[in-house]
Amino acid sequence: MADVRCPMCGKPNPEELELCQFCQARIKPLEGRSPAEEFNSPIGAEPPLDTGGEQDSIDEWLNFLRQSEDEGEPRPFDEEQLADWMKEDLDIKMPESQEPLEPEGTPDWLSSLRSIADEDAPEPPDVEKAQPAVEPSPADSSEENEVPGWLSKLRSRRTAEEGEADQEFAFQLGEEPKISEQAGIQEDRSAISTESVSDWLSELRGEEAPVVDSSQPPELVQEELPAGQVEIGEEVVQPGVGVVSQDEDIPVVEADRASEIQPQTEEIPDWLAGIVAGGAAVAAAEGVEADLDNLPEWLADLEKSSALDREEIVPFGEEGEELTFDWLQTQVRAGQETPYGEELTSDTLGTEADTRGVGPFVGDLSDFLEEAELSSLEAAQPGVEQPGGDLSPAELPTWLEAMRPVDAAAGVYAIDAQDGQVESSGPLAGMQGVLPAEPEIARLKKPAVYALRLQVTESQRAHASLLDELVKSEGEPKEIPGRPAVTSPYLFRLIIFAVLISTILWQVFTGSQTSPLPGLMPETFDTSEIIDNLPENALVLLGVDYDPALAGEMEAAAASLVDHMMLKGAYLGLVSTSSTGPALGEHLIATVGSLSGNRYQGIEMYANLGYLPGGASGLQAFAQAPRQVAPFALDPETTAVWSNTPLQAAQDLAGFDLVAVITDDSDKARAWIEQVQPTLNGTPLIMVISTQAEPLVRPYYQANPKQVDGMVVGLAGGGSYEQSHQDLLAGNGLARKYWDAFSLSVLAAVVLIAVGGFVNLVTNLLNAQKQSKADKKR
Amino acid sequence: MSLADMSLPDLVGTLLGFFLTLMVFSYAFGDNALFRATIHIFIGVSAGYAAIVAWYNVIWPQLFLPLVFGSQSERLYILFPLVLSGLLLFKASPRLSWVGSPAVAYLVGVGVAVGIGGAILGTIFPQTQATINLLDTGAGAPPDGSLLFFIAQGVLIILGTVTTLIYFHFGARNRVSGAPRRPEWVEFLARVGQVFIAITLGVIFAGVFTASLTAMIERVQFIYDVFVPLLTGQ
Repeated sequence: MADVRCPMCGKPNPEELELCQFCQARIKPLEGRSPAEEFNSPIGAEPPLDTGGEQDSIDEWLNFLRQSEDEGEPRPFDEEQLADWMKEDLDIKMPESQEPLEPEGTPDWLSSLRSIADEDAPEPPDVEKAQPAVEPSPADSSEENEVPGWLSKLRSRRTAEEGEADQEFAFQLGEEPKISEQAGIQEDRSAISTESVSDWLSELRGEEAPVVDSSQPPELVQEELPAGQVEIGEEVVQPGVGVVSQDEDIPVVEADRASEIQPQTEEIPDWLAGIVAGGAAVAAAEGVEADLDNLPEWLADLEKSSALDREEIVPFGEEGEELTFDWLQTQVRAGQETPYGEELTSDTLGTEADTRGVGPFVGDLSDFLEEAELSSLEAAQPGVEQPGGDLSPAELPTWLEAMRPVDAAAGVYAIDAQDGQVESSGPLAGMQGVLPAEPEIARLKKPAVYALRLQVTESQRAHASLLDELVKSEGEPKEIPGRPAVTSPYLFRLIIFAVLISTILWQVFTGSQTSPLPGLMPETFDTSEIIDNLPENALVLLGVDYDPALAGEMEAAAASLVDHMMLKGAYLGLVSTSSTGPALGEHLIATVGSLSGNRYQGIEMYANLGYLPGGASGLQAFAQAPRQVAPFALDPETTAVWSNTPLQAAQDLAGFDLVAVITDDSDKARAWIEQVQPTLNGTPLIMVISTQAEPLVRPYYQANPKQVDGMVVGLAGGGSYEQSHQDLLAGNGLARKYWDAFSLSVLAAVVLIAVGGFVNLVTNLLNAQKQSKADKKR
Repeated sequence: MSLADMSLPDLVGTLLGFFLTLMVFSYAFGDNALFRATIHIFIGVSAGYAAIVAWYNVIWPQLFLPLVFGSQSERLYILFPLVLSGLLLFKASPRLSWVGSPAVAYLVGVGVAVGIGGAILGTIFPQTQATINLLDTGAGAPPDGSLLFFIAQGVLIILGTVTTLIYFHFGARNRVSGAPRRPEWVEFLARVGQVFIAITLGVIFAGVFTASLTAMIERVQFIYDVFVPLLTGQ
């Protein structure tokens, strides 16, 4: 039992089933008649009940199709389930490789259709009728009577689409457009024709056929056709092509027509020989026939235009002798064999110049340059007679020739006039030879390559390398050359130290006190007189303003003087503008006490008023109000010295009997003189100063009137004071103790300085003498 | 005083002084660690001692005692320096140092005023007058000195003062050729003043040298006074 495949799921089902046993889809159509039969039958007539004969014959070729499908031929659906008209359409769509089906049981309608097509096929297409291709031939009406309108519409639409696709494919391959095929297909379409079409449609077509003209727009035809036929007309009418309603899917017709093509190709002209040779197989397979001998003029023009269009695709010269048009062959050969513009005529020269004149400078050239350009182009054509050829060509000066940018610019920006570009968009769409703007403006150029290597000379390179080495050497650590352990300054310093220390040690170790102390000096005498004139229990303000570094000198100079005050029973009030002054004052009192044996201890003998902050300002404040600035003594009890000691008698500094300042700094001495001395109101001011401050303090002593009443200067002043008061310090004065060493070391220093200066002088003289001798030798 | 007679603090202080003096003398052989250590110790001891003295001698008795135990007037009197002292503490902060600027400005202003006032009243006027009076035989002539010597000394001092002042006069006029130059007579006196300046510098150098030499002698004597008893056991 034969199985019927479900069109939906594709599974086999028993033949008697109407619905698929798997997917419940209907297998057998509900209509018992084919659309063709239904179409051909008169309206209202009952369809024939028995179609067993035809059905059997159809089943046979359908089985054949099924067998081929089972062998691997894919079929989108099971045509057994289709109606007859669909099967017919399905057969038309069969591939060309398959042999046309010639079943024995071909239906009558199909046989009649073939016979009618065979009788009508050789009829050459009329130019007036073929171009619009809308006008059906009278023979077509016999077949079209059997085809329903909607089927014709479907076929013609598919035919037009496939024809366009094939035409595009043919253009891409460089083949000739199958105009003959189109004509033949049009005839086939006519052969399929309308015998089975209803009478009203035949009449309608017969009336409308003469109306349709190639010169008439297809829209006019469409308006006059019925709704169903208007679409047919749209599909068939192709302006510029004529016939596009080709149906390549009719194998039966094409097979019959293919046999008739062969004898007719002998009469094909040369230009179509190649095309026919190339497309004969396709034409034979498709069963398309065209009467090429009787090509109409419009088709010849169309062929020319198509050949021009194919220039974009087919390179010139590749087809060689097969080029169709003589004029085109001539032009192509001229373009290939001769240089540019050689065979150009004066007529074409203008066009050529226009197409070339797209360079940026052409439009800007002056008239004479443009004329020169044209004349140069014409002169390059020896065989072409130029108007005004009797005139000798103008000879441009060399400077003008050098200035001409025409050749260079034209060489860069010249457009290939033969590229035949067709504008594809914009208002100029469809026009050929339009000056292209975008490709010239936006032409991509390879950027200029500039060498990265600097153009420097050898000297510059040498300087650069030298600078590079200098910069690099700056960053590299340099080894510091080690200082020699023994240098001349170091040796000289050791020599000085050795001389001085040896003389001092000699005197210290020997304990010699043979050198006489200095005599009484005027300033020392004045100082001694002032102290001698102090009253009993005098109030003495003792300023201790020296640094610890020079304590040795200052104590040696002031010890005898302080001891003298102590002997006089003076009450000492110690004050200092230096922070170390109070300690040095205590040390001075202790030293004097230890040397003289006088025990100056406690607040009863002296009061250490301590430190006066502010320097000169502190001294100024202390001079104005000593009770407020230094109210307490620097002792553990913080004694209020101005109320509990003899100092209570002094309301200010003028209340003191003597102001004595011990300092090693001329600035401090000057501060005491400037800030305190004016407030003393006759109270004597004496100073024990260092020798380094003497040059600046002495003017105050030697001034008239004196600002400093007495001075003791350094070790010499202390020795002088001890010399004048030999009872002081129990004869063990520090000045006396240091004086011999001081004298000898000063002498050694003098000798050392003198000898050093002399050696330096002699050395320089010798060097100068050597230098002068060397200069004389030169 | 021998070492045996010294108290323990005095003995320790003496020995410390002895070794520190030797360490300072090592500088004669170049800069070394002993010398640097001695310097650092001296700076530290001096600063510490200054802080103690400032507290015991200035801050406590002159600021806090009146503020705590003083009368109302004393407290009001202390308020001004107290505020200025407080402002000075802001100088420790770089961000708030501007707060202490008024106190610093007060210190600078007072210091400059005191210095200028003292210089004018204590140096310029008296010294100018004294220089003028150098040739005043009636006012300043020594009773037992020769008048010629007195006048010669006065003339020399005046000459030295005038020529030294002229040396520091740098006013000059533009010349047609060459750089500006002082007049010839000014140039001559300036050279004389330069001689006096050189002599003065020599005197100052001699004074510095003798002062340092005396200090050195004192230190060597100190070493001797300490070292010999240590060696002899006395």
